[in-house]
Amino acid sequence: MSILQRVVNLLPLLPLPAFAATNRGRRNNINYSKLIILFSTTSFLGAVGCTPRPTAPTESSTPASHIARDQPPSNKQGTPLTPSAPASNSERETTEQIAVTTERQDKLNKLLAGEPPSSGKELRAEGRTLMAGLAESYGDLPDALELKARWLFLVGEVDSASDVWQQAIGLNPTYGYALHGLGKVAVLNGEYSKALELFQSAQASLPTQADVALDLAHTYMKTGEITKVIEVIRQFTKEQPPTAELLLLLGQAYLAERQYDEAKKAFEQTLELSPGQPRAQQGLGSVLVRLGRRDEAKLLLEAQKEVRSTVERNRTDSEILIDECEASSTLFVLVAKLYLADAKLEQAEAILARAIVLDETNLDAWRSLITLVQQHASPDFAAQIAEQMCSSNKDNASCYYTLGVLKLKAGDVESTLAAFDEVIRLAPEDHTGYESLAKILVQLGRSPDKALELARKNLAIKATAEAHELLAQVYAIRGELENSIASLNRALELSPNHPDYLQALEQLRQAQRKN
Amino acid sequence: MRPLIALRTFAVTYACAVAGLSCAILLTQRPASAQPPIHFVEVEQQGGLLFEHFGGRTDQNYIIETVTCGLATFDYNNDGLIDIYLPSGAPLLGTAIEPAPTNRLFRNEGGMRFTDVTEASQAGELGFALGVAVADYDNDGDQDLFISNFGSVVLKANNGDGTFARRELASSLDAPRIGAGVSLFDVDGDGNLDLYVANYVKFDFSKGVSREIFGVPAAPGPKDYLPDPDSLYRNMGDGSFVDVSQSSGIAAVAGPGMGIVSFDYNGDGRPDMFVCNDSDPNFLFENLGDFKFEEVGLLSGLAYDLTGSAQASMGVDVGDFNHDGLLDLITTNFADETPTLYENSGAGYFDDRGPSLGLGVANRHVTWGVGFADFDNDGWLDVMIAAGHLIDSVREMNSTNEFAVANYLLRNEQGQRFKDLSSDSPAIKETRQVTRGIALEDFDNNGAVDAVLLNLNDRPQLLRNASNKNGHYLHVGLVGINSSRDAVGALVTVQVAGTKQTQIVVSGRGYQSHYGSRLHFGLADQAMVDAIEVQWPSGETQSFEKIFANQSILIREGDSVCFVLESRPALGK
Repeated sequence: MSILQRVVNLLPLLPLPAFAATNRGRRNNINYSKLIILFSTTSFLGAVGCTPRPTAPTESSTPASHIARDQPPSNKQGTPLTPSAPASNSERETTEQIAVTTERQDKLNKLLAGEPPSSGKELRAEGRTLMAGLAESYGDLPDALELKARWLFLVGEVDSASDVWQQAIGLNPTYGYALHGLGKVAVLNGEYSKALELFQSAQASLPTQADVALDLAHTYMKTGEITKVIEVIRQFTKEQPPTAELLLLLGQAYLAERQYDEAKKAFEQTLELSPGQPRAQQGLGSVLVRLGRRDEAKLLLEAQKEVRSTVERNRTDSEILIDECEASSTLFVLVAKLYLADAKLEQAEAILARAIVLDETNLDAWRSLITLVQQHASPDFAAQIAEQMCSSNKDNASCYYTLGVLKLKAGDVESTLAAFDEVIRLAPEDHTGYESLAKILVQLGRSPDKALELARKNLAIKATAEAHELLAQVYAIRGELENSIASLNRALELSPNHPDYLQALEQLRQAQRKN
Repeated sequence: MRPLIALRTFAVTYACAVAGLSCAILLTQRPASAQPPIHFVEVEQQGGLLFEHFGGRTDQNYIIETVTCGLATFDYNNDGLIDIYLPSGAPLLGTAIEPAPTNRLFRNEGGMRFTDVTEASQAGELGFALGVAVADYDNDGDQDLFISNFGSVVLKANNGDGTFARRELASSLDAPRIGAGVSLFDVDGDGNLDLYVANYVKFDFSKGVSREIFGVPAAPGPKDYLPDPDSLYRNMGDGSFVDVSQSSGIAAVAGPGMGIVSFDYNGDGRPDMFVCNDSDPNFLFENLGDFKFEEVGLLSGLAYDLTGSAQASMGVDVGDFNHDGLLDLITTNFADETPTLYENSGAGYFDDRGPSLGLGVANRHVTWGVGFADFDNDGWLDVMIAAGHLIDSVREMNSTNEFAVANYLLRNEQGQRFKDLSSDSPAIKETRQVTRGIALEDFDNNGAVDAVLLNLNDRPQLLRNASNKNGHYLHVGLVGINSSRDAVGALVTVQVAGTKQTQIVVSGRGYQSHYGSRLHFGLADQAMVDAIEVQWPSGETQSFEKIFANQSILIREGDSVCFVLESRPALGK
């Protein structure tokens, strides 16, 4: 399995890595009989993928209890990754683990408080050291070579990158990422025929990778084979969801071929995926000119030019350094995941922390670190890191969602509620905040009016069976059994014969009969 | 009444256009040869072009150091041989170099040999030059030089006796501007050529910008500065120019202007102006009449390329690459940007056909000078493109790139495709340099278009066209009467073997350069042109029939006959 496929599965990231995407675990059956009295247990916690706290929140202050409770993570061979103390002395083991954990937390805090490089030169040196270590440890692993080559390519050492990709091909002749990389080198060298062959081979290995298809199509554009551009993109999008970049290039290819209706469609689809994309607007405007719709075209063309004129300027040196740090940070995270795959957790943690210092907005780095930290530190510490993540990404609802989940895990209900309130403030059009907060209130039996309002908003945004069922829960704790039954019936209309709903309905009817 | 034709040092044959007289040319057989269709060889010792360009050479990477400069070719002494003017940069910020770098004029002695006549002609100029154009602004029968500098626009007025007199135009400028492309065109059709100067960015030494990419020093770009609006000067006909930039609407918009070219894009009889903008949308100033312009780049399709990107447009040339009678544009730009070939649809807009026509092969390097010319005389306009990076440390930023690189030579395959022939000429492929301006002329009057290249901080390169000489040619010179004497803006259409080739007379083209006042038509194996039509800027049209190939003719506005200036035996014989 390649690094990029593997890293996706490597770390079970916290829920909602992209905020709008829901990440629902299997929900537990709900006992509506109990619900009517007070929900206090696990249904929501299970729903969001977190382990419910079995006892009182006071436990959260003792990291040792967390370690004792949670299963240590395993590497792919099934070997425990955390050091284990002699089983004969469990008390000593716990003390030592507390010490180790505290030491790691202190170290991590120091790393997170580190300074970013002051110049591109420093950054280049830092990356070089990291990649040298990577190559030393995993020189026989194509994924490691891939990361090293990517770094070299990023900093402009293209010939060296090419050598490293060749090494990767030596280890695995069909290694798609290296074939892709070598294709990019060939383009830079003006060897377009060679580039096309390499991209085609890369695509055979990575048929779902949009960027490979894009580079293949771009190279056909350079060689003037416009019909091939169209063919490649059409073929790819038959099997895979289109990207804005691919559709934009498709529109340009159709425009070059003077197939204006097709070009218009492609530019419009681009704008659906990437609203306001200036080049797509420009392309659409160009098509409209050619279709004789000059007035419409003029409005569109002038609008996109105006947008560009205000945003397009050269970056300052410090902005360039920020860009370089961001690009490096992305690569650092991938390197960390490689170490993680080899159960070198402390190295991984240190690299992730450095990736965060390089780019505080790198959510992949934050989430990966939080997930890793959860394996050895208390929920409180993980929540502390999440607080730092929110502090660096104040406008990102998904960060606050993560914080809410971790606060809940740490037993800090008030902070959880505050975090989900922030989710709603930042993403009022997204149902997730309403749903989450409503569920917590239901479970706490608190603020039934607010819970009702939230559940209704959730339903208004996303009228699913689940949303109706949540509303049914809210009605249930409010004692409005008829409304609850009506909502459940609506959920059943949308999801007929759902066993949980049927069971809940039966419970409600029983309660109604008792009343 | 202006002089009809300047006294020339060679015999002028006055011939009836239809007569198959002494200048009749024998058809030549196409020789079997393995030689590529277009082939250049470098002239030893640069043919006497003893010149080394100076670009400032500070260690500060000032933006102006990377963009100098264009060059000009013209017949300054009316001897029928095209001469070469090589501008230079100058020391910057108080530094001094002895001897001071100066622009130099080289007289063509024939046989691809040139003599430096800078001192004798007083054509030298010490400013930091970026652009140059040539035009007979005072219609006195000899061509004058207009030089745009970092600092001022200078006119070197040709005295007609082999010397030039210096005049500083744009003296009203308060702060030094970076003048780039220069072009003269007759805005209002009064026969007096007006002056357009593209200005680059608002720069002064206190605004020096340093750049680093992963720790490697880089050069600043145009977006590090505010763009400077262009300037338009009205020729008052008495030798003076008046700045009408504001009232004409030219200064209503600003862009980092570089190469420019004038042509009538919509066929309304008024010359318009295309301006390359570096990393900003290009401008097309439509001439509305009455010295008013409107910028219409967006709707004309010339602002962006096919990908919707504002390219780092550097140089531009105009020509009818596909024989549809409409003038198309080609622009050069930055690395990873395909040279843009804007095909004129005839409906008021242009289509970028660069990728479709195979110009993507020339997108690896930063490109500058550009010119259409029929190098193999097959009747189709080929393309030469100059290349070279801005940053001498570019290899540290991208190890596949170089500061000094090979230029490009692209052969037009009957308007359907451009084929990269760069590797067919060692003089092109194997000579790595940092070229900026190029000029394309038949310097030795042998019927094949040669080239001269201006290289940054280096000596120029003189390339002799050594292609198989199996195609005939026709040189056409124009003398305006009601139009400007240089006939700037005139369209010449040559009909031969059922096809039509259209060319325009311009002043200022390519990368801030000037060349090609005398038009060159390749005629393939046709020894006779069926017809020539001239559309003069004045609105007058003239036609001639049955003109023999392989000669240089002169057409005077309003005359019913044309002059044969020089005829030659068949090429290669």
